[in-house]
Amino acid sequence: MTIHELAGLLSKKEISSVELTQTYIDAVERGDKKINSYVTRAFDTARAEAKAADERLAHGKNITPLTGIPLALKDIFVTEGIRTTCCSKILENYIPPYSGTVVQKLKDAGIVLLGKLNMDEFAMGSSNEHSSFGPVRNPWNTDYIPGGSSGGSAAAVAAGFTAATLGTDTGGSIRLPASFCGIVGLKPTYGRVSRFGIIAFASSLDQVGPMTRDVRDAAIMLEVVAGYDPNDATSLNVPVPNYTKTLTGDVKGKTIGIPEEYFGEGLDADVEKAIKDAVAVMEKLGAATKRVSLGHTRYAVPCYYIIAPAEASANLARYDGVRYGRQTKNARGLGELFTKSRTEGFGPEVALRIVIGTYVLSSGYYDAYYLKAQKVRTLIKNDFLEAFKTCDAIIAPASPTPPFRLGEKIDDPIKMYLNDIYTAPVNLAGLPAMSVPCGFSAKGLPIGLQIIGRPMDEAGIMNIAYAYEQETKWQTTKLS
Amino acid sequence: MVKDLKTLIEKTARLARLEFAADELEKIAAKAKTVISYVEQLNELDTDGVLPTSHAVDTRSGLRDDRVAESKLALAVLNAAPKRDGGFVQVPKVIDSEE
Repeated sequence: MTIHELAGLLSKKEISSVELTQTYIDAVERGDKKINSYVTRAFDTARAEAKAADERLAHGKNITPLTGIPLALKDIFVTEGIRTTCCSKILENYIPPYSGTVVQKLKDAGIVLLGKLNMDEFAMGSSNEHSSFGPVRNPWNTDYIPGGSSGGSAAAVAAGFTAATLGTDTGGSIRLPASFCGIVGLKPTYGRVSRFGIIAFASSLDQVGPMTRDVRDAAIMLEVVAGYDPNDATSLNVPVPNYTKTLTGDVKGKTIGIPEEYFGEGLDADVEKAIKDAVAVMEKLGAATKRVSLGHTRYAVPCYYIIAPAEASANLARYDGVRYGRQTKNARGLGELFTKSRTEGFGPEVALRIVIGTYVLSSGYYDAYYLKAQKVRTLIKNDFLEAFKTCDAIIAPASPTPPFRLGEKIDDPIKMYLNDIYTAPVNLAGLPAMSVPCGFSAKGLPIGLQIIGRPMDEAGIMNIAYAYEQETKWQTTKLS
Repeated sequence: MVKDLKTLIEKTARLARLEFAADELEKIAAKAKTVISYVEQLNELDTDGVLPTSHAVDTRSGLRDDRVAESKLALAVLNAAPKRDGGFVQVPKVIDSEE
């Protein structure tokens, strides 16, 4: 059920938060062994929070749409007193002394925190196969991956192990798993949501966003978590609109751009058909569609795989075994303390990206790689801004293929990185984008439609997504 | 393509405070070589005169007011340290032979 449906039941006293929380606990205990979406279960504290939420609901004061709603969170969000690992051995026993801004906002709104969700280590991955807690499996078919890095998040929402969640998206890590698991995922404009208390991967690209069963739930969650935060120097000081009010479902008069470069080699036939069918639905709903050109599309993935590892190598320098996290037992001095703690603590994909990032920033190579990539980033961003002069939103696939099998791409880094071909350009340009379910492959696996908007136009893209969702009702397809 | 990439990767790893056994170094050097070759296609683009973008959205938010605020986090932060002695975090002695 969705957050808004559950909130209705809670307000009519048809169910209590304690009962609702126990329902989710039972579902996780029954079904998560074969999915592996949870890495930390906080069920005792959840039951206490549910009791407190019921008291708050009984008093009828200070009720929000999230009061009493059970949620789990991606294990990248720092949660006071509850282990937060980023699915890395280097943080295997880290208990944060504080909660980040968005977590505090959710707590103030009255959520019940069920636990922490599996992810690719330090958010580096597109399949949730790079986790120190083992891979996550797609609830639609457990031989397949759920996408990543917010794979545990997407799988848990799809499987009914959490009412909704927040993920993070640096190159596609909300939108890709949302599309692979048949749920809704939103990456807001860079700076729309505070990153304070989100374990950093790439600081100019990371963004927090809702992952939910429908578009209305995403709007509800964004209203709660968005907004200026003095603790995040990159947070935008812009008021938060009422995102649920602008879900009218009316797209008449809107122009939607279809990027010609997104429909070439490498696009799976099932995905192409689903997107073209979605274009037809938009036209039926009264939107105009037109071809646009994003001429530097093919350079987005190489650009991203210079910038993201470079920023990650800087952000992960703090893990040195000194102030928190895993400390090696084998050090003969300070230098070995750093090297052995890090080598023992990081997984192979993280180590690879740190090495690549260090290389592209090092003396003699900085101009050729990092500076070059920053210039290409300008070209990619300008492609979008030019396109938005003649259209209100751009639609595209979220992924070039439907979900793939576990192990299929894990040994070929480029094959894996190319999953980000339609999502990474959006992070480089700082734009908002949402993935909504738009059908299934011939093998019965979900396909996602991506709607990309102008900076700060979350309301516009969510309304287009809502119109499409209400017309097609893909989100009501049940997991068998 | 840079010659003797494996030595370069080993040196880069040392800069990043990472070390690899011989067989792991082979694997990571091979993967790094693939990725580095792949990203070099950016050289196909003429970027003369193009300004670099470090942040896609202009988020300059100015400075905070210079006000003293209380923070009660010190003890909790110290408690997270693997080794501590009172108000200090402990590390091994720095030895002369370290680089």
